[in-house]
Amino acid sequence: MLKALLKVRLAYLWASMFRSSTKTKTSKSSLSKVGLALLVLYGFGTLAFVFGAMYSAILEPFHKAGIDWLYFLLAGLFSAGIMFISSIFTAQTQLFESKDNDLLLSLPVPPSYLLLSRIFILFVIGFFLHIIVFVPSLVVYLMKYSLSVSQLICYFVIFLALPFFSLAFASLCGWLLAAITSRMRSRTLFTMIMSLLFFAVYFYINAQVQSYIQYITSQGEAIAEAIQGSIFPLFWLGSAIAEGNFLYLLLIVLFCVVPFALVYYIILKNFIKIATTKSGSAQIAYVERAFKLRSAKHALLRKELSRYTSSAMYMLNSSLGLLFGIIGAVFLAIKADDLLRIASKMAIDELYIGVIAAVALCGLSTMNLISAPSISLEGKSLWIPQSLPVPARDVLLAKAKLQMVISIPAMLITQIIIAFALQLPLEYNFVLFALPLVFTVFAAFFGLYINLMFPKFDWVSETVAVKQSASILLTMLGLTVAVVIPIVLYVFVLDKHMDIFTYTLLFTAIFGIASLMLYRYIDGRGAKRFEGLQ
Amino acid sequence: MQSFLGGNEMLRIENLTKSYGDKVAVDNLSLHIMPGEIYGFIGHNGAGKTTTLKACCGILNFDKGEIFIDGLSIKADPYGCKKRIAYIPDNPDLYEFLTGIQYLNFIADIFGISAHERKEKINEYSELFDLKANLAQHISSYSHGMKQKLAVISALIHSPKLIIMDEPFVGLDPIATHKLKQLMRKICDEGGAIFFSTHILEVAEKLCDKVAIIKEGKLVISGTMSEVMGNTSLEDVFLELEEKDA
Repeated sequence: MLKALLKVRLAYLWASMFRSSTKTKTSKSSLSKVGLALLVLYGFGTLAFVFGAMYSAILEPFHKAGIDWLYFLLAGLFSAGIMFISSIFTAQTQLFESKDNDLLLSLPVPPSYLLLSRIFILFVIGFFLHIIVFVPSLVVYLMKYSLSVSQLICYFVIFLALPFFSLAFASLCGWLLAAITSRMRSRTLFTMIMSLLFFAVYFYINAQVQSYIQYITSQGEAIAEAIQGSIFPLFWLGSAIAEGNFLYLLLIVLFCVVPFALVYYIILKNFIKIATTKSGSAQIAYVERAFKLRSAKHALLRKELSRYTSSAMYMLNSSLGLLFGIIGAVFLAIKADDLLRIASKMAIDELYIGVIAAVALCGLSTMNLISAPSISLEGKSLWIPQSLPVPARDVLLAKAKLQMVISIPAMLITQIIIAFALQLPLEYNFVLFALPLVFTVFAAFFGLYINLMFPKFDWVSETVAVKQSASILLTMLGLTVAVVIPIVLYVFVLDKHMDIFTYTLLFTAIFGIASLMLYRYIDGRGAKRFEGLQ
Repeated sequence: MQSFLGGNEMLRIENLTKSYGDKVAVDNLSLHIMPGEIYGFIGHNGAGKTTTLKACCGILNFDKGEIFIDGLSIKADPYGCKKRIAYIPDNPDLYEFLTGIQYLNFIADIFGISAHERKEKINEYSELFDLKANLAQHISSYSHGMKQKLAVISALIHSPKLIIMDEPFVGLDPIATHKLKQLMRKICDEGGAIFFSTHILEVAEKLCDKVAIIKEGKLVISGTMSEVMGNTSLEDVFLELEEKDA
């Protein structure tokens, strides 16, 4: 029975990431599967490379100081931390808020199996991240030094045990979140605030990583001494690998697995209660008010806005670029003098600063993915727009429009702050404003286009459509490529042949034309495709 | 704008054929519904009822044939057709992130219903189906029956000429079922038409003016209730037809 549940969960995970709901030949072709696999590999490879570079920076000083164990400990801590962070909200939705909880609980399936199968999926997702973060530490180490068989065994066993530790605490936090929000009426607001706080802490730590690494590198021996004498589990983790010590290995494995077993037991005792508690069902009395009439197009846009604001997860995952843009602009405004002084010392032209800021804003726009899951989010209610007397183009354009309505004002605020901070000449400001604004429009149409090609309607939880679907992945990667290619092209090929101002205007025009082409597609063949979706 | 000749049929299906891959879901099906008629559509699971109903609503493309709604071709003028009809699916999957009243307003906005008319209709039907007190609640908190009631109210808000319903009584309580049946009769007495699928043969027998039985995508019998039933019951006819080729 457990095997069957695990198979279903794995199939669901696979389908949520790689299978589209459409029955067209395009979505099933081997070419698109290979392309998708390559893109995933590219994404994973890039992240692994970043971590490898970081490990490379700290390995040598640690090795020279004879504290290799601290190197492995840091790799373990990075990995456990990232697994924990990435799993909290997924744990909340996957463990306690899945729409098939009622169905599965009605079957003669022990809740323990049900919970185990759900945790298994969290384990699999976390394990992918673990590979990206932890394995480069071994590769980097073996490139410079060697490990004995016993050290390798210890590394491998810890590699398997660490996800349990992260999972235990992520599940516990997910459970607490689910328990708190299950009775709340302002659930979206609460989740939003919690997530923003969480992100703030996460990015603060992220921003300080470089200085932390420098500190750790310079103070490695003192840190090692402090940990060795007080935080034993951390010492066991690093030393088990560095020394190939099986006693430490046993201790650290127990340290990872026992909390997991305890958390599993605690959650299991409360699983049915939490999974079956309906959210915020307090009665709201209906009071008749005067009706505000809207045009069909306006009504469609409002409907999209209601969907967007009803889900903290959708808002956060699809609008991070806007948030970072504004935070970054404020930071830039504070540090503008320092930045301009450095630029002046490095003899960087003001125009380049404007272009760099514009490109950075385009880069942030790759994280604005409001339209990318919008068709998938229709889910089982797809029959509504299809049966109503509104052209499919209007239904689709409302989805792209929502992204523009939200992104353009936020982008303008960001640009105005940057413009005031940098005090660039007027024509340079044109670059700062034109390129990101046109790219914002392009991103909205591009996300919609990709979702039209790779819709996913058979989701059980909205998380799948918003975070894990092929449409999201492809949109993000496609937009990243659209930002990176012009940079690479200019730096390596066109630098000598074209001035940066003309080049930026050229790409502004290219994104403008691409937006127009996508609009034309959505207006014509895209609308036909939407009408035929099932 | 294409129009068919002959009569004022509210719905005319001509040689409808729809396949899913190799499987023929609906095979050369033809029927027509006149104003004032309640037309029952009966068949076992997978017989092709929902496919036919969805094709009539313009939410499913078909391979061959034609469908006319009040004289307009669903292929040539889908929006004109959709303005004249209302569709209630077998499962009321509505926008769960909206409240009941927000959903009704959304539908009313799409159909361009005036403030006065929408107020009148929303009050009338939400009181009839005892849903008015729940209109401020999010649809996600509704039971299946409440969602079904909301789907019915939203379907009636623009006074459609033709209502297409897929298993409309599933999930409704006996009182709501009774009220819906009365309402269906009233709508047709006032010149509307209803085309609906059902598995409840007793309801079809009592409620419908005409009935069609579909089997493996093919229309096996259709006509007025007395033509189809003769001296037996609809259940007997249906079971006899089902067993014929079994």
